[in-house]
Amino acid sequence: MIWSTWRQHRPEALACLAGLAAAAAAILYADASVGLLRTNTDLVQDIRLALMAAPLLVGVFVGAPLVARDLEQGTHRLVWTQGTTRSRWLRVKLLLVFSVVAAAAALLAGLLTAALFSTPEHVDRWYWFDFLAPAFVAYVVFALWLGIALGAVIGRTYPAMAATLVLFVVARAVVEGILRPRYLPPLSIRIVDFGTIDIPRGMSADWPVGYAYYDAHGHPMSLDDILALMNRDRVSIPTPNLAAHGLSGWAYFQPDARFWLFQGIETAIFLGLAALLAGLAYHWLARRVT
Amino acid sequence: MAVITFHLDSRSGVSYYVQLMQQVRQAVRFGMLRAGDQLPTVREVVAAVAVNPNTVLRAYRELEHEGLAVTRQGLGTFIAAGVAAPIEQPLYRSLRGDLERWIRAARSQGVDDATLAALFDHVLRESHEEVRA
Amino acid sequence: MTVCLEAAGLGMRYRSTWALRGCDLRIPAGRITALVGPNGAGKTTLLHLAVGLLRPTEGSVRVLGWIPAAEPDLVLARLGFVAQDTPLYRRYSVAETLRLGRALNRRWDEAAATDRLRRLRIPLDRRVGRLSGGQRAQVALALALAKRPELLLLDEPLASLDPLARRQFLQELMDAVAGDGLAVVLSSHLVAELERVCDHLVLLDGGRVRLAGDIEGVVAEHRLLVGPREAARPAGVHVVAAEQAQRQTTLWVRGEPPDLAAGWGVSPLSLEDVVLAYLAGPAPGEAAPEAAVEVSA
Repeated sequence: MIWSTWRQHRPEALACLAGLAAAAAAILYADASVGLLRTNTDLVQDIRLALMAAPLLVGVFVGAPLVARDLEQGTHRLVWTQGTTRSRWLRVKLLLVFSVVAAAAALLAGLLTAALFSTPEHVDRWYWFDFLAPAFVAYVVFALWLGIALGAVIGRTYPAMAATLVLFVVARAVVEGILRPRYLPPLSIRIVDFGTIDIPRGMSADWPVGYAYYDAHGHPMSLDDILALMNRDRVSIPTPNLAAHGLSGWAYFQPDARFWLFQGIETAIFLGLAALLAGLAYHWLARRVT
Repeated sequence: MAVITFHLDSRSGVSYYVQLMQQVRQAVRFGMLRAGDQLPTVREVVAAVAVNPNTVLRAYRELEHEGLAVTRQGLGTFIAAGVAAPIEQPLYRSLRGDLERWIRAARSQGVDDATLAALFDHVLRESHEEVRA
Repeated sequence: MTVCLEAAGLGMRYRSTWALRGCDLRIPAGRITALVGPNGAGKTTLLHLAVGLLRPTEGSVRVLGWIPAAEPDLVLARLGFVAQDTPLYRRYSVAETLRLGRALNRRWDEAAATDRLRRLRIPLDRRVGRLSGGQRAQVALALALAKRPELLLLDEPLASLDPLARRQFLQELMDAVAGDGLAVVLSSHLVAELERVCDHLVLLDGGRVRLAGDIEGVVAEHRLLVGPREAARPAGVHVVAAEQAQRQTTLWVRGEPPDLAAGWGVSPLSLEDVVLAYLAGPAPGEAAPEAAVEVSA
């Protein structure tokens, strides 16, 4: 069955291999030439863009058609009625594809991680959060199983690809934008002057996740409110010092020490979702009515 | 190259196995099959004519009952020895010529095929009764 | 007489419609069975249940003695199946298609398959998508036969084939039956083309079995009676369908009328006529038959 899985998905496999080779080559080249930490160069930005897109491409072009194409074209009526049972066919095929894809992702992310940390220069880890080994592999695995599950349930290739695209982007945006800053309660430092956040020396590697301003009674104030207030009082209190206006402000950070913990949490979230989706896909297909 | 080929008419209303038997009898009558000749195997017939193998088996079995054929295990089905000799060529040609003339004459008078066939059957049957009488 | 496929109270429901309901069936082994019925009668559903692609909503189906959904390994090893429209991977070559079969089946006779395809002059290195409809059907048949099944199920195999391709397909099929003695069930919505090849018939309509039996028996048991309109219905026969014209009543019946009043003419019916009579629905004034008509061998 290894041959039949390879033969059936040969185009995708070759495309992934080509993509993997190109990305690895780009990373090695960038590392050797400008250095990956030159994040203001086009080359590094392009590499980041490609790696950002990679899990999505895997989900849409490998995961979604994996089962959907057979269902859509009716060839499941051919392959599920040979001498191999449906569950064996699915088990072998899905596990095989999953293993290969996960290994390729681990290889690529491992390469990048090693290249990033190979120099003694300081790395802004939070800036590379999405691309380091555990998180990147989790995104790819999640995207793959999302595609497979949607392909199984929807049963048609193009709609499954579209749904995978949308749901993957939403999932990543929600987790990264809303959940990640809150995995653990952030630390805070006081903002002294409005408009200036003095970052103490030891906190330069920490990840800023937000700020908040309050009035004397503890009610939240928006930036516009504060500007209006300071404008109103600019003659009497001509200083941006918040305390002078009876206001207070706080800046929130996730300390650098928590970095790997956060990687672990995010990885666990996406791997957990992937496991749920795998279960859903398998269960759905095992009981599917033709 | 098969000895004879069969042709089945799905519209004649005659059972297929009967049609096969008739065609074997006809082949014997006209000398295309002689005593000892092997009939096409079931597989050959079926591959040529797309009919149920059981139909061919049945036809061959019935021919065996009639004494026209003999099945030898593992070898095939053969025309039995002592089968009526085919009609001689000159006699065949002369009879055929007479019949053709008769048909042409009837047709020129506007008689259709169905009436011709019925007339022939009727006279043929009556001729047996005449002999008995 | 062993049974190669049997169903008891078999029912299959999709959402709110029953594709099959109360289906009772016993298909004898060693026969070539025609599964006929109009489109939507449930033929494909029945075949998919037999092959394990579907699980019954109610009742049971057994193939060669086993329940397909419960023992797929045992059933699939002995069952050949060609689905409607002969699904194949269009981008695979013929040789790759055979290789797929070899990879997925335990018992595999590659030589027989390649011999057959060579005999039919189908090039092994051509992509399946480039073959004609008739050639694709032959490849699908060769694939199904290469696993040396005991029972072969074919879902409308002749549907999109031209007459020559149809004839060639049936020739190959009959050759395989003559050589291996396998049982075959072929479904079709056309009766006439199956008559020379099949010896057993199952008629499905509206998800139920209406008529089942050996074709010879079915044809022998049914007759056409034509009589004057005012004449009394002959007794001792079961009326399958009836038609009233101005001066004349036509009855399609099963059974031999013990004595016919004057004015009634009897004539035989072709298999297609019998099937059409059953499909026409109950005769006016007759109740719809609940039980299927079974004609024993």
